[in-house]
Amino acid sequence: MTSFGSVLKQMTVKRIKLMNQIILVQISVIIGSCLYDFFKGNMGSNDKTLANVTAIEMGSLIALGIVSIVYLISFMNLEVNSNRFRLIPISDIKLYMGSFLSTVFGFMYICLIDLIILGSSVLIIADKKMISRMFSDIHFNEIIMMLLALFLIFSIFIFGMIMCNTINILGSVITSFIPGGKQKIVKWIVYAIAIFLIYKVSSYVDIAGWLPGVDWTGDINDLSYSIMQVIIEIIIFVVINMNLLRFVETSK
Amino acid sequence: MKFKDNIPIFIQIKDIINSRIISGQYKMGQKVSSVRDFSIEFEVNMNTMQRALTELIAEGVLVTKRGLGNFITEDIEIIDNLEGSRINSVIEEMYNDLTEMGLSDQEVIYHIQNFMKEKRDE
Amino acid sequence: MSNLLEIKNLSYRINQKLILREINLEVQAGHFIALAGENGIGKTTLLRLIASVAKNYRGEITIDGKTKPEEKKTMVSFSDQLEGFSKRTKIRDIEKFYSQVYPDFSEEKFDEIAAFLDVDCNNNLSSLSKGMKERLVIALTLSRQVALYLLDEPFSGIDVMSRDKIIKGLLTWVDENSTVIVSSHHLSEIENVVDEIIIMKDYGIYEHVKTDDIRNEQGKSIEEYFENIYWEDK
Repeated sequence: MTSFGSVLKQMTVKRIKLMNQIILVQISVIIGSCLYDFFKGNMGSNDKTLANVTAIEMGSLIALGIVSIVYLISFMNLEVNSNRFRLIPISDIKLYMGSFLSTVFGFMYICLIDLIILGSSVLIIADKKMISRMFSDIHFNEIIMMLLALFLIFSIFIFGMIMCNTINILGSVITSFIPGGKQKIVKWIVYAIAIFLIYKVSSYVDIAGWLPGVDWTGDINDLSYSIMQVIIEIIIFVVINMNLLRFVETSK
Repeated sequence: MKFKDNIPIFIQIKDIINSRIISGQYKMGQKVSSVRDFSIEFEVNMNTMQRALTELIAEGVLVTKRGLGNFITEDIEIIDNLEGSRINSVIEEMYNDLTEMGLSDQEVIYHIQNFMKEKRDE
Repeated sequence: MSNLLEIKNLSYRINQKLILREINLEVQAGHFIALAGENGIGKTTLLRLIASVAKNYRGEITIDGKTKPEEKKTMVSFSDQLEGFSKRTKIRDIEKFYSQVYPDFSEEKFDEIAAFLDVDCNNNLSSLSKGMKERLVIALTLSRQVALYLLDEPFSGIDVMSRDKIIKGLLTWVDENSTVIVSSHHLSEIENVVDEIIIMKDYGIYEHVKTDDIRNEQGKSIEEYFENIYWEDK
């Protein structure tokens, strides 16, 4: 039987390769627009330069970040829908874990690289005065909060991707059971129902209600609470997806 | 390889191998191909090929030597019989075709002798 | 002799439409079997069920005594049409993928078979003609060392030379203890190569016999015999 490691490796390498291509495009866009600005004489004082560059970077990072998420979702769906992956002699659970973990690794990879790009360009362009201004008032608390906030955003995106996967899986299972399931209209209705059901399930998660007596007040606690909520949602939907796989036929 | 599509293939394979023995293409005691090589040559699967070979072995036309493969028999009587039956079936087919046309036995002999005379004169 | 493949009371519906009803089948090791039936009768569905990529069926499908899908998949090689790969994928990368995810895949064997079948491995998927793509699929399918090979209409729409090469490939590279099930609705293409035939009709299996027995008992070609079965109703 195929080992979990081989499948995970294949899936991760595929995503990293794609992320590298996207990052290359991001860097070219950044360098390209910086050069453009430079030759147009827009690179004046340090402050203005930094703001310009940061704006360009944020724009391209966000745009291409969306592209990477779309690809990551399509890869997960392919791993559920295609013969290429479903013929592999491995249990559905291991296959799905590979799909999920490689998506997390791939997204983590591009997020870290993008943070490094953003961070290093700030450090390159800003001069000593600006840097000391930026770091003088920072408390340890604020650093923690920023990290937690970033992690929360990361988790929310992961959750979004998993949910799209659930919509695909649930939609596919329902359409194969109902008559006339191959028509487009029916598919749209089924997917709408799937989205509704998923919304219902996810709203059911309520940590505060489940763990009464825990003090959630305060900023850091707020963030931690949200993070825990999202992680539990992720776990629930990963488990749902893994168990629904046995009903999903391949369509490619 | 082209086979007739309404006669069992293993029987047609047997006929082909027998013809090769009669014509001298296979010598007595000669080693023949393995089942796999034969099946590729005849373009049939190994079961069909094996069925043909098994019958030839049962009829004594082929001899299996353990660990060495299949060989043409060295028993001359069997080969003579093979030739004899082949000759018989060819004659039988010709005789049936001619008598179906309405020829009597004497007419059959007459035409055969005529044919052989014309061949000699060529 | 225990059965390689055993199907008991298999029923299957999709979109509430009945495709297969109470199918029973026993297949032994070491045979080449034609799976015959008119278009749309469920040949592909049956193969997909055996390969465990079609689901939600009633009844049992057992391969070498195993019933769990992941265990069955280790013993079956199904002719996947590679739609899960993007058109720009290089053939060498497809080979690498197979070699990584299938422990029984042999790259050596693949190179041999691909060379024999004239598959140009240095290009990508989109550059292949239909015939060459089919030969690639066969090369990939046969490079796995398994007990049961399932080929779904490998000869449809390809030229005679490709077909003959594929048949020779089957005879050369399939182990004598393995079984190959080839589905086709043009029996003349494969009737000499197979030793058994499964005829599907009316949501089920009409007959499962040795091809030479049909020729012996009926004095007909397999194609003739098959067509007669279908014309009986008309």
